[in-house]
Amino acid sequence: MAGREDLERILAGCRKGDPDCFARLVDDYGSRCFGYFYRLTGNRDVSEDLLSELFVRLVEKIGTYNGGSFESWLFKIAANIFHDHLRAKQRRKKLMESHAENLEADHHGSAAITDDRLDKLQTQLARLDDDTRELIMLRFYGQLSFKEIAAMRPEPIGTTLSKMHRGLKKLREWME
Amino acid sequence: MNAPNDNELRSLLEGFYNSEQVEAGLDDFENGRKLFVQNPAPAPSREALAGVKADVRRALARRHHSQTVRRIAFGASIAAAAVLAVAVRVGLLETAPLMPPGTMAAAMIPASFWEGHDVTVSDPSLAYFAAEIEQIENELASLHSGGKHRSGEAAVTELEVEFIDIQGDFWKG
Repeated sequence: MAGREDLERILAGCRKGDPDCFARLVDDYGSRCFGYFYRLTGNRDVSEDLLSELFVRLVEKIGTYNGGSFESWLFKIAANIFHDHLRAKQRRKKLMESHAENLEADHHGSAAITDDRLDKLQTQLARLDDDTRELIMLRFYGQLSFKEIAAMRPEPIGTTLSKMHRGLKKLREWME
Repeated sequence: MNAPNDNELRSLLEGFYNSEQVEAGLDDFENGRKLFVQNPAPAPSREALAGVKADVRRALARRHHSQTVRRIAFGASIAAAAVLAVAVRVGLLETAPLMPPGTMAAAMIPASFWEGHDVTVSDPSLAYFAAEIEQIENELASLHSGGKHRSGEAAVTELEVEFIDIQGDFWKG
């Protein structure tokens, strides 16, 4: 992982459109962002698509990054991409339901668990509600502060904290 | 996975819970973090990362292309604006006569001709033709009404005599 100065240099290269600098960002943040998407979707292929979309969007938006925590900025974009994905999936689901009621097998719930080789944590994460699961992912994969997470949500910071606390306790119980 | 900022978490928990609950809360969060450390998410494949990098390169190429097009369009609009400004400045766009200087434009038919109701008044040369036409009209009218019956017959007789004379001259050679 690049240090702060190194990151600044890489980001300056990205702003100039240097593909090697973007490749460096992919190397440094690709795994964490993939983990974030994978824990939310449970699907490797979908996560790879979302990861690609994230970095392509980064190319479009890099000019709007004006300092501050790069990780926070990156994971805000990742969260937006995940929400776009959920909305698109909901639209597809509705469309499919209107045509055939029984075609829903591959599109259940927002946390579609479609990978056959799911680990135990993934299975238990799928039992959490969408909102709590996303909060926990932003905290542990995005490594965002509570203030940063709360700023992305239309609720007080105490509510965010409380939801995450309850979710983690449940998760620990289920994992035992 | 690194531990997120625990100082922030502690101060937040202290705002809602007593000291014992704060410690319990911190433990819960730490145990949660350990769960993710002990159960890491699968890593993306090398092919997937290479695919992402390829997508990024394509996106950069598209961005470069669109920036170039935008730059050209901007340059062209600036050039057009400059040409327009210069044209206005030197008076190219003012309405100018197409004839060489010193040439006078005049209508072939005077405007009074179109404005007046009596063409003979407007154009003297037409007065002669108008008089001729009027005379013929009068003669025709008198022939129709029979007012000059006698002179009409005489005219026919005269024409017949002339015709016989012409025939005679013709056969005589």
